Amino acid sequence: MKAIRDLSIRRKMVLIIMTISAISLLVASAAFVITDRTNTLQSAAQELRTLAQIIAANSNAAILFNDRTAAEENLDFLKQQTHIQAAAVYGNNGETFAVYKKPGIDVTIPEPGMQPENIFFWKNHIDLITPIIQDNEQIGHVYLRSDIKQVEERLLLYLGIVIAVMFVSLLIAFLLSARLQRLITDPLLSLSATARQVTTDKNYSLRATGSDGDELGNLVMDFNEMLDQIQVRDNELKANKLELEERVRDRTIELEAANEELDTARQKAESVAKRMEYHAHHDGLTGLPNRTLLNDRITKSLAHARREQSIMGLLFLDLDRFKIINDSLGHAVGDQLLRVISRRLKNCLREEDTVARLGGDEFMVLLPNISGSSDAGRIGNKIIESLVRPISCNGHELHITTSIGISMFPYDGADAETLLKSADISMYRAKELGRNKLVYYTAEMNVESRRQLALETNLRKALERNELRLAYEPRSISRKTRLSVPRRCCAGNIRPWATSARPISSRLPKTAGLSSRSAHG
Amino acid sequence: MIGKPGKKGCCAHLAGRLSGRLGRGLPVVLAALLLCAPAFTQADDQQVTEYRIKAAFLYNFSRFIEWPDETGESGQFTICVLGVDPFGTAIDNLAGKNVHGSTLDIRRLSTTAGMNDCRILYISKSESDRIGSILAPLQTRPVLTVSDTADFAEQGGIIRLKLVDKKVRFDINIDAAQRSGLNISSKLLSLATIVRDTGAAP
Repeated sequence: MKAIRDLSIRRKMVLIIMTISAISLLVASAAFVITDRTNTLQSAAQELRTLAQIIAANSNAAILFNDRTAAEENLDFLKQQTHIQAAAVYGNNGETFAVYKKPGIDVTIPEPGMQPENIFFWKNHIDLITPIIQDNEQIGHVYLRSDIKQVEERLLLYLGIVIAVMFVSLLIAFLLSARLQRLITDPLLSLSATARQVTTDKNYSLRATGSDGDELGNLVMDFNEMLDQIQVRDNELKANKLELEERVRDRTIELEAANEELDTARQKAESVAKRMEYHAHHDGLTGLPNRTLLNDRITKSLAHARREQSIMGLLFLDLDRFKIINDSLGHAVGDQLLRVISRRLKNCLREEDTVARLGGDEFMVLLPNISGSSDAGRIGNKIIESLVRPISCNGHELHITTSIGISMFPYDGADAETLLKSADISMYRAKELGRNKLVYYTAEMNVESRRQLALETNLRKALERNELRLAYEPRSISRKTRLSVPRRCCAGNIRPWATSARPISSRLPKTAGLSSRSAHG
Repeated sequence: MIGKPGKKGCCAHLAGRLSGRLGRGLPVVLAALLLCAPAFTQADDQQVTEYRIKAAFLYNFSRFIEWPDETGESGQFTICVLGVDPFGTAIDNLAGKNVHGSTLDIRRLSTTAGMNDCRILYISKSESDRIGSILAPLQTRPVLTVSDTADFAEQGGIIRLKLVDKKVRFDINIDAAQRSGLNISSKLLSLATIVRDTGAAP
């Protein structure tokens, strides 16, 4: 069924017409053949009756005069009637007057005895019994048996004719339908082709042709009308689209310009930000990382060292007597000196190390991931050595040294603050020990540092409260009787140690910035 | 028929004569039959059958022969038996039957007088000696002459009955029939042995 549905409309039309024609022809032919068979059988029966009547008419005298020879002679002519298989003439009283059997055929004839007129149609033959009448009195009967080969032959012939006629009719029907179906299919196919072309080409100016006055014509007209509307809309759409595209183009250009401006602004902002970031993390003079960046790196290195359980070193540098140079030769020389020192410091260090300028003449070196304090010491010494070579600035030959305090993670502190403080303390220790030295932090330093810090605090408070008083103490008189200059001493009554045997070093007020007169140092 | 011609002849003739002489009385016939009873053997039986058939033949002839129209205005179809009657009751059974629209009537004649009224004239063997004289006046008359006598047809009779292989057959002299104005059906002719007039015939 699907194969039929998928057929083209032309084929379908032809198929329908052919099917109808074939069915009509078949029915008509079947009726014709059946009728003809019936008629043929009837005419065969009629012919047989006539034959029987002739025999009956000819046999009455033979019966009446009991003449079997004559009766048999009467049947002689049946030899020419090839379809007669058997014949017999019977009298009323059970006599069989004559029997004829077609040679080569074995048939049994009925028993004698009075029989009424009768006819029997068998599958292959007809039996007929016709009474023999003489003067309105039955005197016997004739039996005739005929085959119906003739009927069948005739039927076969008719069948052949019917088939031939059917074939010719179907051929004509096919030829006619093949032409006539165009009446319907041509407009449809044309419509279909136009529709397809419109779809593929998107060309709405196309129109279907061929419009008769029937429904198909109306369909074509409606289709064309639809195309009209579509074309109008399509044109509007196209116009709208063009307008829109133009607008989009304009907008795009505007946008591009805006983007460019934005980009430039962004680049500017980025470079400014970069610069700002750089400035935020670097020292303007030397280009070294500043305290902020250092702190950041220390934090990271600490985290790393904690994780890896590695050792980290911090070197706190303070240039010796830089202030003198700065004051005497000017800031320009000082600045240049600082730049040269920065370069030399950098040269002493590994890639991963950081040297930062904390301000003034203070530098901090971060040595992450070292094997031990000896490494830190080696680098510290390397730094000290690097400064041995004099530095020429604006025609001055300058000699500079540095004091270095070293603190180590994890030995000297667990956090950045402690480590920085430790390094700071050890650096001061180095200063105390005569400068141009390298000092490792020790725990005692811290105690000392605390003591000093407390003293400093108290001193500051005492100064504020004006509690200080000058006290002189006599020094032992030497053997040479020379009166020693009384030693100036500041003492407070605030703490017992103020009167302790150990004098408060005059250095303390100096370091605390409390001495009114700056001492050398 | 085996070796008893005397008895057969005696009995038949006796019966014929008795019935002929004493009229058509049934008792006479019965008496004759009774007298002949010891002689009523197979042969007699056969002879009775033969004449019964011949009687039927007489009737059947009438069905295949047409007589000229001028005859039979009496409304009767008469079969006459001239001479000693060999049929007995067999022929009486025919009486009353319808032939060509007329009623069949049986008449037994001892003389030739009244022959002209007969449609069929059966001439018994007893008259075989004077066949010629009987036939002469009937030659152009529409009377069907029938007889068992040998050479009857050749002598100018129309139908001669005979036995062939124990079966009753007949000769027809078509010239004689034509002379009598009788129209014999071809069906009947086809069953008969056709005889033509000999030189004696006109």
